[in-house]
Amino acid sequence: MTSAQAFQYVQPSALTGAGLGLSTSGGTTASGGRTDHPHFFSGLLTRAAPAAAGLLGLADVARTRYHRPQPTGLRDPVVTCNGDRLRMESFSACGGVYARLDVLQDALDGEVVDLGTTNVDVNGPLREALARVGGDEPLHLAVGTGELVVTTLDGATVEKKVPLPDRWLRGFAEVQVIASGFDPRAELTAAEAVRFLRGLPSDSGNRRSGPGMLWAAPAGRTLRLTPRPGPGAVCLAGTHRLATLLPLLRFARALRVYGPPVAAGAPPTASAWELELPGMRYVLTLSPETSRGFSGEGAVLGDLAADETAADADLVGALLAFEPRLDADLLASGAGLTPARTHAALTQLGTSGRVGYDLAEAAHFHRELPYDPKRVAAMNPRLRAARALVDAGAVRFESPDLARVMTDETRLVRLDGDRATCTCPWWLDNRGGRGPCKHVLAVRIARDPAEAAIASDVDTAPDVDTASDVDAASEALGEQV
Amino acid sequence: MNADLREALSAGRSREALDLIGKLGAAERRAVGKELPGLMRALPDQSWHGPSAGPMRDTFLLAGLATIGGAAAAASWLARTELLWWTRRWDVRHPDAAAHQGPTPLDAVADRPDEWVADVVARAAGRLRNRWQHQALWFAIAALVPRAGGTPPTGDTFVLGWTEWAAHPDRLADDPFTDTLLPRVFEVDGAGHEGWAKGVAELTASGRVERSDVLNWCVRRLLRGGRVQDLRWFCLLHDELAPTPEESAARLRDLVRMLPAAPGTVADLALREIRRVDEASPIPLATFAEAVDAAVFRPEKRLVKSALVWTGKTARQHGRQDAATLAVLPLFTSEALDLRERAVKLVAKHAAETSAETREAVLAASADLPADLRALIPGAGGPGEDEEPGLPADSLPPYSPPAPAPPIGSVAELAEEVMLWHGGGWSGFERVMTGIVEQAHRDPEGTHKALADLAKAQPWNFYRAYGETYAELSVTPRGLLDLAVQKLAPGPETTGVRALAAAMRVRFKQLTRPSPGFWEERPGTVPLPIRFLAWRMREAVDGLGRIPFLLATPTEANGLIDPAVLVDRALRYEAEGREIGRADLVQALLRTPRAVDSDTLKRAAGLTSAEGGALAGHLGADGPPDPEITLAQVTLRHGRDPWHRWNRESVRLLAVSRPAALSPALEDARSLFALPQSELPDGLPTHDFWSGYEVVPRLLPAHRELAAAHLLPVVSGLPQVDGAAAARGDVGDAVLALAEADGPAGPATGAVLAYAASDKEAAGRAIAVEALLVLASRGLLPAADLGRAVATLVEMDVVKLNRITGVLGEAVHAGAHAEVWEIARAALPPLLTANTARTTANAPRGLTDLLQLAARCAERVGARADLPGLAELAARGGSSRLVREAVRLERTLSAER
Repeated sequence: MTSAQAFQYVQPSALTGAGLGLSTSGGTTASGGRTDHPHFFSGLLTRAAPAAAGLLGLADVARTRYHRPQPTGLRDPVVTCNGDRLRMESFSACGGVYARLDVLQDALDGEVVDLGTTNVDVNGPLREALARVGGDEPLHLAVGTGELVVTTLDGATVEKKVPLPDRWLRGFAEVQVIASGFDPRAELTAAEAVRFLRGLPSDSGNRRSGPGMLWAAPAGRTLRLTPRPGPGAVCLAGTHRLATLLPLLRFARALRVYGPPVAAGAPPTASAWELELPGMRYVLTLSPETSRGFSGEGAVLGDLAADETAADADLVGALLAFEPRLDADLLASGAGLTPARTHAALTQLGTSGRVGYDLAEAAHFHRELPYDPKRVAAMNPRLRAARALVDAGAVRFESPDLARVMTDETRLVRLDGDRATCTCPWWLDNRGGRGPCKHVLAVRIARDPAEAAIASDVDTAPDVDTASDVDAASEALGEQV
Repeated sequence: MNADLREALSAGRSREALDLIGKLGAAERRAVGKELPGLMRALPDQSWHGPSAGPMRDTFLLAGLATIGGAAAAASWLARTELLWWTRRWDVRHPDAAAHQGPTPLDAVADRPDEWVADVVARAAGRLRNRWQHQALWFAIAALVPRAGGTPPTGDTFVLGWTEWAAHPDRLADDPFTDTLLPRVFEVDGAGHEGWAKGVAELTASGRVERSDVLNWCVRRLLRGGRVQDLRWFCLLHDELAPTPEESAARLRDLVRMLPAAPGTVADLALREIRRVDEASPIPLATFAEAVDAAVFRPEKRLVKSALVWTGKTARQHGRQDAATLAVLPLFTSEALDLRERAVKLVAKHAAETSAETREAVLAASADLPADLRALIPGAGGPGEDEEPGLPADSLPPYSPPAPAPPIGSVAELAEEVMLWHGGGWSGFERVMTGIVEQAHRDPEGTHKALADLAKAQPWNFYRAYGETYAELSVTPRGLLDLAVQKLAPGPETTGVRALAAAMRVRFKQLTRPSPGFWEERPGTVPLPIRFLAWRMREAVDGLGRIPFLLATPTEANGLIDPAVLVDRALRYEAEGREIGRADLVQALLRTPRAVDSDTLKRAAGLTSAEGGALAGHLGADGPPDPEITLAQVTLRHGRDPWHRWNRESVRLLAVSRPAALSPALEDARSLFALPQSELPDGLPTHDFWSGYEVVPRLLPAHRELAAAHLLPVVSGLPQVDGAAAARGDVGDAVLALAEADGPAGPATGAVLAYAASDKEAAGRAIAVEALLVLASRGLLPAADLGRAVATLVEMDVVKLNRITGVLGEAVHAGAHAEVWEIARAALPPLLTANTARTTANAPRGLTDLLQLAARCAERVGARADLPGLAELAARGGSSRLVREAVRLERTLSAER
């Protein structure tokens, strides 16, 4: 389901002689709740050129469809002011690449007016102007404006109507949860990073397995590309998705790579690539395959099975105040919960878009995605399909461990304690890497009606469809270029 | 709507329809407008596709324009897909349009107010897309523009439509939209193509547009960046406009900002312009430093070289020595040795005129230079403090063998494993069959039920071809699986006539079963090792239910069996009184490692059966015989197509072995040891669509050379240099499995690696790098053999040397300096001596890079050697890269310590 979200800006963002003025639209702030045009920061960016290049990289990520090379409409980046840093995030149109630029205290010199999250306008002329920024002089930056601007001229208001499919929103939120399972795998110096990134073979990675998949294994001081995974390797599917790192290389100091634990013979996984710039960090999180967006990952279902997660999440959520680093222990003691439940609550908050995860700090941060929260935490379609199967009476038990689900073709579900296997093609392809399939869910619900109540609290929405459906949905809405 | 109008609409008479509509009043028109969609739907389908379909669509379109009340509704009506027909009928510029007799949209809106038409135009432009179907919509909008105020809409899609469909670059001056839309062409991504460069240049020359404006737009577009295909015509336009140095100087800042991140052609243009500006009048120092910094950082060598030349020429002239030196310092660590040398010479030349801080920075940067280059820098020369020849700083990561897959433990796991195998050919089949044997012994009914269920759910995995003979059936994995299911079917009653008949049938089948040697005699396209595997699997199927487990199941991932485990298994067989299968025994013998400890030998001496004795004898023997394998060039003919008189030929490097004395236990496998396989006179052994080549090294894990020899026919098809490529098998896994196997590596392994390194697909080359590194980290890389194989293959002209050099470069980056030096050392002399007869231009491409790579490795390792052929090449003189690299290598190899 797609519905268009309208963003309204008082004036377009512009880079003028007075500096870079980023216009804000509606968002949540620490001081005033939901505000229409918050004002976050006024001051200097001490290194203008890397910041401008980073912002351009974000804008490029937002408008690219990596699995089908065709430009799409620009989706505006999300800016969060966490007090000691500014975070700018964007998510690609195909739902497979998440980019974030963290501008840290070393690169900022000015007055933080408020904390919060909002969208900022990035338009064509701004991109042009940003490309022209160079040299080492500082640049004035204003996120939002302080004055109450009255629209004196017609047309000074900028209104953008951008289609935001549900899947895109869920993917944006779900990236954080997936990233929290990553560990640092390798760190490259600037020279090695340059050599590695420039030497990547051009590969669109459209094939699902086999030669198209590349893994980067740490080898000495650098990374080596191998076709099969080994321990400590990081999956790199679609080397063109790292393209936005290339213009930033000239400022880079180091490249850090993060990934989940991988054993030999593992299926493709997501990965994160962080470039350290002077006073800033630019991180790209890539989905496991080019044609796969982030919202299809059911990896979080395990954390959310418990009954009380939703209530815990509300409790923990009330304690957040746009901190740059969320300390799980402090939160646990503040909310009166065990660390395990706090962790589950943070996962739940992550999938509703209320916290993000910073890999370099290895901690969550608070930000409220400026999109309709109800849409972000929509009902899991897979669960809906499983319920439908149960209600239609399609589940037939032959023994306590073996069930037949009668859909168009019979699917055999075998339960073995905690493990379950199914004969549907989707399960064979993913083998549990993306959570249970609808047949397994249906059997579980049918076997234990109490589980149905638990399962209904599962608020995440991993979806079986691929990024091409994101496309079709946005095209159906008639995207403007 | 009256009947006349309805008929006019249905028949497609637009002039008449418009006249009739013109006579109606406003309210009646609106009523007609509301009825139009219904009328359209009511018309029979075929009238939309007949000869009068076109005029009918026109009529409906114009009628809608004339009658529909709201502007938004009218715009949607214009955009209806049913009405988008022949595209250029309203284009006044198009020659065919003059023939269009009927009314145009302008006629249809004759009665409407101007603002209404302008509104329709704006909304319809919003619905425009870049699909070819919308071409007609574009022209309809364009036709309405004169009434809408004369200025066309400036949305992105409209501009793109204009550039693609309407505007002709040579006739831009006549186009009414040019004035408004030309500036937008420079802003929209993807607008225009190469033909536009000339057209816009002429337009500028004629004065229609301001030259400075066009130059500004052009430079800004290049700065904004994007895809190379989109930017190319702007570079051409810039060249056509030929700006003077003053004009470029006005845009200098943009040009400099273009340098770091733009694509290669744009950066070329930028650097060229900056140099021209500098020549005319010197640019400020900060700008110079920024430009050279950016150019030196780029990956393209031509840009770096151009920047170096520029710096060299102008540093002294304009007093820029400090900035020049600092900007050029990053090149001291470059991997392109020629660029590094140029940078060092440049720094050395200007060393005397630089400030003290710059000199200190230079000294710091030259710490890592090789001695001969460091000597050039004043103050940095002299013997280095840490000149340690030998071990490179990066060493290879240690090799950890992958863990073997755990055995299948239950029927449920077996079912899952069969589903995963999914009809996937021979790879993975041995595991499935081993699982079936073990589970069938434990629980025959359960196994049969699970397999029968699967057969019903996925009958394609168990496909039984009708008409296949019994013998052929058993050679395909799916046939074997089918046989297994049948074998496991619960037996009929054991008494009575029926039972007797069944027993006789079974006996008859056993008697007519093909003899064990059938796998050797049967000619075919299946490679010999695969047939060996099929024989063993067939034997396993025959013994289903009786055999508790297979003797030759590997205990390690590369196929080897731990001798202690093997002896244990043989003892169990004897304890239960079962006979070890013939094929099973041979395979077990082929899978024993070379070193067996004495405890195991003692226990093996306790085996009493005939097979057990053979096993003990084999374990106790010195070692399996290694047939001597040499490589020979073989001409193969491809294609047995009777329609083609000429069959394509290709020359391959294949293995030939001299027969060795085999122990009697291995007699059954004699044909595996004898190469070439004489039953394949022409054509390479092809395989099933699903390949399973990686099982070959796992069938012969202790005989790496032999496995390599069997793999050579299919691996030699990887480079695909000669057009006669056979069906390309999926051999990547096979090459890796070969690297993980045991046994000495020799010429055949070297040839396999050389072929794999020249694979046409980059993924295959990545696997070759991995295999090379695995062998190198185990210390088993046949470097000399590999080098010789590379030289031979390059001489045969069946591989591309630059691909192989790329693979070797990757290996060097991973730390294999010493090994790559050995490979180059073996490969270069034949290549160089063969080259002396040729001119430099005819040298194989990639030879220069190989020389440079060898120089880098030799430098790192501190090698000193005398390569025949190198001196002659170096003495040739001249300034070609080949000769210069040869000189550099010679210098490195003969440098004093």
